[in-house]
Amino acid sequence: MRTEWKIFVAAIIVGLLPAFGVAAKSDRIGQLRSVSGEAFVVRGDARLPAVVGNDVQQQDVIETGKDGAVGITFDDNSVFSTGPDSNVSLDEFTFNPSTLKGSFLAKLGKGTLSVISGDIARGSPEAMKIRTPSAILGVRGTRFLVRVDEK
Amino acid sequence: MFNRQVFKGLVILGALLASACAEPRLGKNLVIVLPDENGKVGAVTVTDGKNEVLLDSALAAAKVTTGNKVESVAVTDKDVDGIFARALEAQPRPPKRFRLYFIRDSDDLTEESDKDFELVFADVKKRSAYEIQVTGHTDTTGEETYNAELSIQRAEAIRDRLVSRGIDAALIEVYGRGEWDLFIRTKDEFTEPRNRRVEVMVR
Repeated sequence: MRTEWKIFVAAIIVGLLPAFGVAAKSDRIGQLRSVSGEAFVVRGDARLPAVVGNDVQQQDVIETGKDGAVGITFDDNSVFSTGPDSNVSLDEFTFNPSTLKGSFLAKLGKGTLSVISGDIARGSPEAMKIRTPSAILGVRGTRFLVRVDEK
Repeated sequence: MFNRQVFKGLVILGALLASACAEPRLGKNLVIVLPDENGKVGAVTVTDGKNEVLLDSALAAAKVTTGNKVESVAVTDKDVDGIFARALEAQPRPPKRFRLYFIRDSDDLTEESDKDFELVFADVKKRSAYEIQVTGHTDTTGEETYNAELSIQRAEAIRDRLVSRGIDAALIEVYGRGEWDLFIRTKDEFTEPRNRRVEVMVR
């Protein structure tokens, strides 16, 4: 009711929201939601088999073999899925769940990728980019496909 | 005779060379825009650093040529299925937002939203893995502190109902935003049924 109170309480709530999110979710930026065939999450020196329900983190690289496919849901509600013989680097992902703003930079090194963009791309036309070996995509939303075949 | 054979040989050699150097129809990089699940089409720009192509209609596509140039290219549904079938099959169910509305000054759903609750539950059950965010809201009638509490009660009521149906409580986050995040902007002390809501984000 009183404006000072309003601002004070709102500030506390807005301040707490991301804090809860961060505490609960650590380094995760999304989650694996579908896996078939040979599929890995490369994290630093580790090459982890992809398992549905496992987290993905910034700078992970998703790799699939000749029969592999992987689907990921990100914390900004973006959705990626990649087909066989693919390599997807999740180079940069920052997201503030209170303001719904952030940045998302990924690279498709080879293979196929299906994308549905989420809150980050909605925030600004510069916020989400996908690179291939020969091009840069500016994502204004929402659904598109990318193939890289440079052999 | 000899000349004809040489000529024939040259023609075959030429054809072989042409096929070896032929520009693949869909380039070495390919981008295709599709409508989303609601039929809406967004936009993607594709640039090689010099040229930029804007794709903003269904099946609009751009390729990168072997000469590293971005240009528009015509594609069909058949190309999409042929190249992207496996990637599209692997696509997780897109996140979905539901709005459930409440009876004034209570944490009871309106009759219609009571039915809509089943849509939320059905959506969660279709997912291989899930996370749910439940955020309660009120309209601007009443004290702010009271409304903050009421918004949390509303969110908790939805959480409890999901949990009673077998949804994992650990995968549900509950927030209350009182009267600070109105769906319909109103003046203070204003009764607005569309603001008395819980937003459920299922992902």
